[in-house]
Amino acid sequence: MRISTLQQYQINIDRMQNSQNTIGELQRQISTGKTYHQPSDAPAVAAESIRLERDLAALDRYDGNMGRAKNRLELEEVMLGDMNVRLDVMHDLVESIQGTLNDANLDVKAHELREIVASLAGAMNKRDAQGEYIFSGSKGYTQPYELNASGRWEYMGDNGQREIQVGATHYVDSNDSGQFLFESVPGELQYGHSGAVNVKFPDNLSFATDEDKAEFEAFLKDDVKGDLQLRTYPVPSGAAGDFTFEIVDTAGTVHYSNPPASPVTFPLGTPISFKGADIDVIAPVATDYSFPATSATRGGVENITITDSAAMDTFFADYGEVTLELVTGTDTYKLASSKTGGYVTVNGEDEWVIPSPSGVISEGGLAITATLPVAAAGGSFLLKEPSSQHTVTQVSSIDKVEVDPANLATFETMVTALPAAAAASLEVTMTSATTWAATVPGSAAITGTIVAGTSTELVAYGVKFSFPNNDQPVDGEKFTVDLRDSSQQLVTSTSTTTVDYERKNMLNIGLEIAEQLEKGTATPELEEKLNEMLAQTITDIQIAQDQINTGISGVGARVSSLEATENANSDIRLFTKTTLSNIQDADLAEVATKFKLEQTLLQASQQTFATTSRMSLFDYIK
Amino acid sequence: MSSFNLLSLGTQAVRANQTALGVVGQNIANVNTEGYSRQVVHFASTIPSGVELQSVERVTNSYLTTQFWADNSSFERADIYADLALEADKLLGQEITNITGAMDSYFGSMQNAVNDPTSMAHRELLVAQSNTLTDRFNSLYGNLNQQHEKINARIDDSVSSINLYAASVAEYNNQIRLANARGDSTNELLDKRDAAIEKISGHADIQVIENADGLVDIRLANGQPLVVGLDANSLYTFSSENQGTERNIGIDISGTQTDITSQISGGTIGGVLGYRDEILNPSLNELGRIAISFSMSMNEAQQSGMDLNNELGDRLMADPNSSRAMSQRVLGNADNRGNYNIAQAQITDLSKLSADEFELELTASDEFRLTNLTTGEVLTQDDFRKVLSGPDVSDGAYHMDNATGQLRLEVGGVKIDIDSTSGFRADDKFLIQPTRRGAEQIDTEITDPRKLAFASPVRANTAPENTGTGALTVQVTDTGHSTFIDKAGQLSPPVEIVFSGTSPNLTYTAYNMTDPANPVPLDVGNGPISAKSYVAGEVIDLGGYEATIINEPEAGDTFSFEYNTDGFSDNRNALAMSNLQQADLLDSGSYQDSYSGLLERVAGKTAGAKVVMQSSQAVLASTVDARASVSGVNMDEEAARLVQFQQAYQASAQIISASQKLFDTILNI
Repeated sequence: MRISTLQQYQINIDRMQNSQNTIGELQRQISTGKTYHQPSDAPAVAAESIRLERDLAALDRYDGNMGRAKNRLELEEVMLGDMNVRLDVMHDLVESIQGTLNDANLDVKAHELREIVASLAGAMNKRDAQGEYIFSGSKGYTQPYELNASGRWEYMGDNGQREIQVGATHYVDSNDSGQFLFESVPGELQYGHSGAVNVKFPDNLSFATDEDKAEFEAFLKDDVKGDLQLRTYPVPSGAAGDFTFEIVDTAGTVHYSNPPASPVTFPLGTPISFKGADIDVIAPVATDYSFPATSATRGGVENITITDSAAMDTFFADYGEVTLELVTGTDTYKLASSKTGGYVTVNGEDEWVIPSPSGVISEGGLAITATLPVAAAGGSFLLKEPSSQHTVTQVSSIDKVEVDPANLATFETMVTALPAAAAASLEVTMTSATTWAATVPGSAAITGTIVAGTSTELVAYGVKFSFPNNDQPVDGEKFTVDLRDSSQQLVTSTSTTTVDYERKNMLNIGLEIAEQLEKGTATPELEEKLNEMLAQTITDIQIAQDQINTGISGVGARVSSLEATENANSDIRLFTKTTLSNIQDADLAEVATKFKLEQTLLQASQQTFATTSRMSLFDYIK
Repeated sequence: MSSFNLLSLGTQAVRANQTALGVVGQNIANVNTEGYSRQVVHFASTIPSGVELQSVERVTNSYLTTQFWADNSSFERADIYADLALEADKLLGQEITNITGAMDSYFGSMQNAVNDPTSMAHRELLVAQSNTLTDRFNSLYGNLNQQHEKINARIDDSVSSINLYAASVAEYNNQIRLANARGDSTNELLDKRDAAIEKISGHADIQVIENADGLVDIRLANGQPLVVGLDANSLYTFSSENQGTERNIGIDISGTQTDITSQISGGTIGGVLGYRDEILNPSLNELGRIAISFSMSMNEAQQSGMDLNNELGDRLMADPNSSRAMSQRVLGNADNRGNYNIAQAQITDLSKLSADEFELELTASDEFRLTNLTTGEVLTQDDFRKVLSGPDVSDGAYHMDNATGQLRLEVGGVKIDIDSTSGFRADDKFLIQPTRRGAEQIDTEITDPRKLAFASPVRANTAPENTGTGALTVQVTDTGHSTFIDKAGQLSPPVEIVFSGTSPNLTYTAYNMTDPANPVPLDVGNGPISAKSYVAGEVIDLGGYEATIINEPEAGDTFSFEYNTDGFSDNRNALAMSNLQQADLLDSGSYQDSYSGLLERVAGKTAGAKVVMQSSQAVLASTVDARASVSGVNMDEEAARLVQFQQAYQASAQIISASQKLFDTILNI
């Protein structure tokens, strides 16, 4: 091949430049220790390194978090241990009083107890280095224990726990609340009430003696899950005025049942005696009754829910009230707008197919469930804009179903006439705009009328259906009220007595016994009371200590789990670091060898250049 | 043969060799002249005797020259492409400019806040880190976007160079035509014309067609004529219709202007355009997507919490769906005929959001076509569900009504709104860039560290009396729900979940405790939550928040919910925010996964560009070599020729001398 002079020089220059480039790159590898300088040098390695470095950063954070969690837990452990010691002292003190009741000493002992209580309160109100209260749950700025107006220590915190992340998916609670740790001693039973008014403690629930009360409370403690319900209802297939009732707890266990075969009539005369309590059941009033379920259908529409309030607002603003017409036989629908006077038309279409098989039309932010196929229904339904609270009330214009107080007896007679043991419901159907027909099993069908524009209710079999004056039901509308559902749940009057134990803390236990000590033992009653309280206090202190010990062992378990995690994390860290080093660190021996080789190549090029540049024919032409 | 003939023969030979020596001299003189083609002389004997210099030929290989221009185009393209890519690669990768590091610091301080949600120092640090992170996004966007300016400058330069050299080629054509007519040598002119064409080939890919009369035409790769004989057409640049920042190229042929931006693929112009389309814009879009997902998810998390003032959280970041941001995403074509008062795009679903760009074209007053400019996918209104009203539009649906001038469609997590006051006009176009400016717009909005909402607004109480093992967690889903906004600082209504029955028929009822003496079953729009079968781990929607109960509760167990007043040590929401670092919010994974993906893509393309650059350099070098080996001057060769012609010249002079001697001899007889 012919070589031009310019080429000859260029080739030499290129060769030396290449060598110098390579040497520069190798020098960079030696000085940084990394195989790549910027991501494009090794795209896969760069992305992988970033991921691994992120993992390492996360591990460092977890380590920091663990340190923080451990500090918090260890502080809690120390505080709890300290409290345990004080409770031991309190326990010993109370025990020592038990043996030697002596007025002269009692005040001193009471004073000592108050001192212990004050120091315990101090410990429970402890703050950490950041100024946060340790035992107030999530209310870190709220002092957990404060003296209330009646001189008792009251818990002001909550039961919040702070989770600290110590692994990718591993969290540890870094505190326990005062509610969990200190509010542990059960006190007096507290009665509450909800539901029907026919049994309401203490109005209708009474105890003849303290022993009876103790019996009832033991029953509540041992046998009752949750609350106690009294359910009263007319006896189906019975005689007018016959009632039966049962006492059931929240778990559904029936504790007392009046057999329907021997019904009662109200008023009872003699209260029912039950587990030591005297329960004077009175007749249910109309408002006591609650129905298992009520439902309504109208014009083939079963249900409407709001899916998008904003969309709904716009829809009604654009079209006003809209009549949804289900087109018989074709399973399509049209929307007649009251605002435009015609059908809602979009891009020339005014009829849409109801999605099958769901039958749910999504329109104007509403999900409307239609009965499919609509051949049978073929109705129309007025869509009204829901109220400002965005609650859907369109399916029925009925806004309330209740027993009519004026027709309570009619209602009870109708229930009494229900056939035994079968699902039964009362149905009211509008046969025209102003007439209705109602049926119920066991009673003859009845009909009635409403006055267009003025009626606000209709009453069938003593059941009152209320509707606003300007929103009367329309032809074809049907309301169903279950009187007894498939699980034999009958329309009942249900009264619930809630039973909760008061939770006491050890501060107040200490204060109470101190107060009793200060009252002295002047009378036998006082002495007896004091003895009783001393015994109770010893038990209570043990319960309180048990709870604190539960807390301590929980903390211990968490700390040891933290330590195990710490070890695991350090293994993972080592592994990650090794992987990272393998993929991104330069092999210095290899790089140095390459460097040496490249250096030799460059020197050779330089020598070649020197030699070739000296060769010219002109030098020989004389 | 007469001595006179001998004289004339000698004279011819001297002249011929003298010219040949001149050619050798010209060759030697131009040994370092780029683009110079060596020349050789051809002698011919004349009849009856003598020699004449038949021609001075320029040694070239037209195939190699054409090849050289093509290779030059490829190399210049690859070179500028790799240069720009290396810069982007560095910006995205290096520690002091990339997002990953700043995000690690942000989440690092978030962890500190998780550990000590009440610490003001940690809160302040987090606000500072948040600012650092958003600044990092902004400056990375700024630095990358700067490349647009660089690219524009390159395009401007190249276009003016092309115009300059195209004009010179036309002028050389003219001179060559004249020289040919005069019978003058055109060797130097041809070299100069080739050099001018080479310059053009460095800026764009061209086709050179040599005509029979020795003139050349230059066409751009797509066939647009740049030089035709003696005339040159000029290129011009303009800013693209939709965006002021991107420079495009057109050609002006006798007053008719045509956009040829997408048709230039070689040379510097092809390189910068390719880089712009393949790396720069996709990177900006992807970076924006990450920024938007970060802002939106952080805001959502922050707004699900409660701050140190017992108030529901405000936004942490500037709203990615502010009306300004939304309207910046849709750019109407300058030629649109309709009047459009609203053209905006709202990000609705991060999990579906892509970094793609779209073109929306109105094909009729009630039809449209949506082209995904990134994937090339084309959708028409028939590919969407048609719904009755705008607010009903969800993903994959559209509403278009020419009468009201409303067009709304939603695709890929983006809701596009076009409102017209004039009705829709066919052929009107909109460029939609959902994420392009995300990294520019991201901004830390919060300034008061007390407003960081680390606590959950719902306090969930498991009654201490509970006998079962049921454990409760709460997830806030919508703090805009009436539960939270009806009464500030309260849940309306307060709720209590009570269990009844026994396993396996355990049921629960959620009570509205507005009147504690008369609790009624809660109804949040799906019917009363009464006597529902208990399924462990099932989510119970309580209106704006959800409860999840696991394990085995027992009858009578209660779980209650209230506003988390003063729950400042609560870190549940901070944990939720911190966990977003790992959450797969985008289809490409977490924020940092997505960023690594971007980095890997750019690095991969850059590495590829480097290889292409090196290989095209090698190809160019070998063509240059081949061409040099044909046309280049070799000094040794010229030295030999110098000696050769010098000797011939001396010998010819001897012929003249001999003829003179012969003549003298005869005269002296």
